[in-house]
Amino acid sequence: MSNSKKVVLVGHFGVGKSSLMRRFVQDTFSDSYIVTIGVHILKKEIKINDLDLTLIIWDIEGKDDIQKVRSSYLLGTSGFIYVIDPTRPQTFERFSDEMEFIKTNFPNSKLVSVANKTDLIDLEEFKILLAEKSMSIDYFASAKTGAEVENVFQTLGIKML
Amino acid sequence: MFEEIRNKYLYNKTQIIKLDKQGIVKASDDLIYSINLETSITEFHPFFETIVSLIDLDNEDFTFSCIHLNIDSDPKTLDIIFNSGTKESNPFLILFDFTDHYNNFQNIAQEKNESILSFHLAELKNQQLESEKNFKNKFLANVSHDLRTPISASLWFVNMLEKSEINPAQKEMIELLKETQNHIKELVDDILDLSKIEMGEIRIHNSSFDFIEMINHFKKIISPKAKARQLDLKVVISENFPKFVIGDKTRIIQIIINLLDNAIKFTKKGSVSLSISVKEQIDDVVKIVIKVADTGTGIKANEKDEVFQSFKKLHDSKKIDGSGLGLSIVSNLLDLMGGTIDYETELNVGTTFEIELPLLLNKSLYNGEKLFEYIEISEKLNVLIVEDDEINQLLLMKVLLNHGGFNINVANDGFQALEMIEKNPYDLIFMDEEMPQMNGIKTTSIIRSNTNNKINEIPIVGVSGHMIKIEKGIYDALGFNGYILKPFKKEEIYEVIYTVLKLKKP
Repeated sequence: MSNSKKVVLVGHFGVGKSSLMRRFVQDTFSDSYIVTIGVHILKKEIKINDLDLTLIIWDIEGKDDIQKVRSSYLLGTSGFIYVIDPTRPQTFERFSDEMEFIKTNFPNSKLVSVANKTDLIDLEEFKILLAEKSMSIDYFASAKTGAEVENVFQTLGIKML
Repeated sequence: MFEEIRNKYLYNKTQIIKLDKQGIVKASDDLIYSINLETSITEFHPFFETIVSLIDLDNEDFTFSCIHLNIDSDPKTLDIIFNSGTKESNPFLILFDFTDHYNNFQNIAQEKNESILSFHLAELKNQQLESEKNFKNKFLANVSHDLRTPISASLWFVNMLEKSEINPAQKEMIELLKETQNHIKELVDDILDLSKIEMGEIRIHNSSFDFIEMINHFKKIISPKAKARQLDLKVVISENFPKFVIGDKTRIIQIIINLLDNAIKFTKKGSVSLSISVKEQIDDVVKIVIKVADTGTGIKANEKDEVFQSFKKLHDSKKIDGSGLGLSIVSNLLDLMGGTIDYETELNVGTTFEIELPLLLNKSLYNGEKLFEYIEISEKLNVLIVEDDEINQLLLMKVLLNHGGFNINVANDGFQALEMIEKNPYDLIFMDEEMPQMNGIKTTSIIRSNTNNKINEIPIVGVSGHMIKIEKGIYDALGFNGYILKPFKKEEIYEVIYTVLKLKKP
């Protein structure tokens, strides 16, 4: 009990939350898009220094506004991963508001932000765009290539301990 | 009876599980899943970790909808109710198997989300296309500036050369040179016009003009071209056609010339005809019909959809000159003016383009605009030419020096110009828009903000190689009193001097 933490993946639909979870837990990836309705839950044990930590990962259905997420899904969440899709500006139009909402309403939870699908973009150009929008993203990952996926969960794990 | 129905349809759709305060399974009716007693519910599925964290609460109900549990490779989607129990009673869970219902919902959501994603993708592609188009247009605008300066210079010198003492062989070569240069200029102008239209920077400037005089004027321009190809050029203007109308004369000329040029290009023998008539008149609005017909090659059926597209050269003929933009420009300009264009064609018989265009009637007497070949000045005027390009300096100086009515100074850049206007009184400044270090727009704005009225009120004529930037309103706002466009003619320089200095025309 004490060494398990609930992690919830949030963000718009189609940003690749399920793909990130499957890449992290099962090390698999599929290009076909399958909509998540409700929630899928997987767990994975990680090691942080010498400590064992079990991540209970909730992959919830995508919403364009986190306030529309069923409140029961977020009960007891220790860590949030907010995922955006850099190829669809609609998925980060309200990024700052969403981050603020999580910080205000879940003050004891930890939060990391991830731009997925970075294999599809010119990363440097995207970083310039983010700078122009005064947006700060923690990780530039790709569920397809696996880039940075491990680090996202590992870092969140460290933060939650 | 109820019991019978319940057993048949609901028996294996719900399950009740009783826990203790530590989350250990104490009882289960096992109607959906078989669960080991005396084990932690968290071992059954990680979802229940959340349940256990709520167990200390007193008699609270929680509902979790649409929870996917994949136990023993049997995926089910459940709604789960959890009651945290009281001091006297144990917590319990009720599972509802809604797999069928949620599977149906999954299909609907899949369809909906996929269509939204496709829409986003299409939107993004449109944005990319738009930005590529803007890039192309900006690129063309910049290239135009670089092209127009040397074209302007070479045209000028060829004209000067033509007026010098030359033998017939040289004259012939100069004629060819002029023809080639004019052709290059036409191509550059075509490309510029289209990029200007696509950037939405073409405005329609309506003024009153003599339509019939205009037609007669460019009949003179087109006739030699038709004659050179041994074609008969017929121009028919209906008797009731109004003399003075209000419209964008420059653009109307451009449209008709484009169509006539095309007709001549694609006609090997026979005739090209232009007919102008009135379709209808309602109050002051007259709808005119312009027909351009030829006895040329006609348009193939498979090319009909492409006639008004940009960069489409029909007929696959490398012998026929052109950018392939003419008809696209015509169609776009007509859109801007509220007109329409259509055509009829028959292969190897000919093509007739028919335009309908609404114009306003000008019933008041109007003499039309006229460009002046000479300028009358009572006293010598002090003129400052601010221009970094030596050829352009020379071109402007020649016009003004040949006239004899101007004292001329030249500044090579904005900084030098600012120094000179502090020391000398000027009646007029010609200001090149694009200069290194300090451009004409910046220099003009500094002059306009000078506290000395003798300086800040000096009339300034903008000189631009950027067709795209020329919009009267923009120039006014930048502090210019007028502008001329490279390559410029002597008459245009005189005209702008008349306008800017508000001189009385002869």
